Amino acid sequence: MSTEVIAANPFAGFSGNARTEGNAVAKTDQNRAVAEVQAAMMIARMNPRDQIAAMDRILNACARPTLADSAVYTYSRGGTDVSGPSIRLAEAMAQAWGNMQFGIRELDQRNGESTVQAFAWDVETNTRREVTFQVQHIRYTRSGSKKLEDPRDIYEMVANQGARRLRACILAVIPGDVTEAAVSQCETTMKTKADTSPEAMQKMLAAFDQFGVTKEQIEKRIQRRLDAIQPAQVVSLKKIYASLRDGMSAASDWFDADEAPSDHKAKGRSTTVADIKSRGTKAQESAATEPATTETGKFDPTPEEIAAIEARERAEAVGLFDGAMKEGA
Amino acid sequence: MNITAPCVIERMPADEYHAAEGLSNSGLTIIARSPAHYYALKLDPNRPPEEEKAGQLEGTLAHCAILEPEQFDKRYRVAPNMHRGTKVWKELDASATADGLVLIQLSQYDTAMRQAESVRRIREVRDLLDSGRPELSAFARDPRTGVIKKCRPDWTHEFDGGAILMDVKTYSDASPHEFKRQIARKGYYRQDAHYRDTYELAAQTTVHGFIFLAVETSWPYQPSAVMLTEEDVEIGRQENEMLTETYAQCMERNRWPGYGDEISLVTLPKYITNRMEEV
Repeated sequence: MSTEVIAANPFAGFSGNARTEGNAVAKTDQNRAVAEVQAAMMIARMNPRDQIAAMDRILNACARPTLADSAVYTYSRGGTDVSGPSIRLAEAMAQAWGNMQFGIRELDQRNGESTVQAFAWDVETNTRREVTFQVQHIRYTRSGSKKLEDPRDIYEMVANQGARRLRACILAVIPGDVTEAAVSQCETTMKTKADTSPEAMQKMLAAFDQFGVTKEQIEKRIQRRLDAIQPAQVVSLKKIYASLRDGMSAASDWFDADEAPSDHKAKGRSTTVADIKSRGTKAQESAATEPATTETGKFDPTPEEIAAIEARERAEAVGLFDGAMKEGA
Repeated sequence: MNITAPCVIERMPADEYHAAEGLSNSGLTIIARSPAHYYALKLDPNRPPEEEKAGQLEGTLAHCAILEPEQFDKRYRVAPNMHRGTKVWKELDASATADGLVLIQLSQYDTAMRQAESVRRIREVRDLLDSGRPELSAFARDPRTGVIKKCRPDWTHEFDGGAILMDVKTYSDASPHEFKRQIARKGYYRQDAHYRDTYELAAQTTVHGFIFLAVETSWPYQPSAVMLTEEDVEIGRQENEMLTETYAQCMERNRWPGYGDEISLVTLPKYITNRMEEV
């Protein structure tokens, strides 16, 4: 029977036709993609995820300070702080959750814009979330918009825009309570390592310095002198830093510009003999009055203070997830 | 001279300090190159006498003019600018040496005086220089290894609650931006940590800052005062700990390895491979 069907096709045997060849290549690709998907789904069903083990993997990953540091971002919208899990955390969760396919693909590029798809797919449960969107090859700056010509600029623009959608897709597929637990673990990791020592503060000042943020601006925001900073405030500043670094917000969103940042940059960081001496005298005074902190020189919060910090962070966390989910929806 | 660490000695002649027992900052720098170099330059009984490096005299003159101006005439005699090979110079030099002085040229004197004037234009530095002591020799035992360490800060400014140390460096470009490269190249960040730690142990005090006073070697002799951040000092401290450990082990076993007796496989520097990638 099958022989008859082939013989009935008048175009059979015309292998030299380019169109047919092109179709054949496309078909092969299509078949391969289908086969890959089927294989992935079959493998996923044969090796279903152990949710307890997957959760452990996620929490373990979140215990790494390097991940925890960049796990949560914050930005200011409508006068309130919105924070949520960062793309790094979303990717780390997807990897550890297992049986997930996720990524960004550029479907088309023409007329100065790219059509891009971000997707996250739980191949085990066949839950899929995808977003298709347009990325215009234009960079908007304060001095006006600029058309992007360099393929590398375009690639970066697509990758940046895609990363945010990808984050939303991953977070839509992974159960919300898993995300919540991961962020909570990251907060704990950051808090337990929230170093308030003078050395750590110097490091932080240097990090903010690259965004033109001065010590005075930071002190104004935390409403106290830097040497009296609380661990939770360090955590909050780390989130702001992550947001500045990822380009989610600008320094002026967070800090009052009471001095011209450009002057500060031109001048560079500096100190005075009086500053050096006062740091020394201060260290001595605190050593004399607070014997409990003399050994490490670090802030040692009381159980009540820890409870207060935790309560505040839980409250913050609820709000930030709402914001993040809304953005992703 | 028998020294019991910890101690701080004032007005110790430089050659006595150099001859005294103890691992100095320059010793650490040599160990960083290789222990074999340390043995060859510091311990080998057959080692050649140390040669004065180019620019060393100019550096010493700047130190004296900036930190001990009243001592300048007692150490140096100024001669008109002339070639050192001439008969007149040789006669003047012999006469100066007989009087226990070092003969210098007028241009060298001028440079040193202008450098001294120029650093005093930095208000913070002037305040520090107005009260303090030059060239204190400090000796202390390293608590981890038991090795005696020594340092000789150019200037020690003491105040109620601690001390600030200062070190004068002459360099062609004293801008903080360029001088930080020199700090990295010459390992001054190790010196910073070594001086702070050794002086603290020796004087039983707290060192709150170590300031590099950089001054340019040619007109207009621009100065700058530079201080490293605590994190960078910590890098120096960690390197010092490693090098001191190496020194202690070498001393204990009396073995001073060089670059190794194997054939080292090396890779090209990154800038060459980067260039190839760009092509």
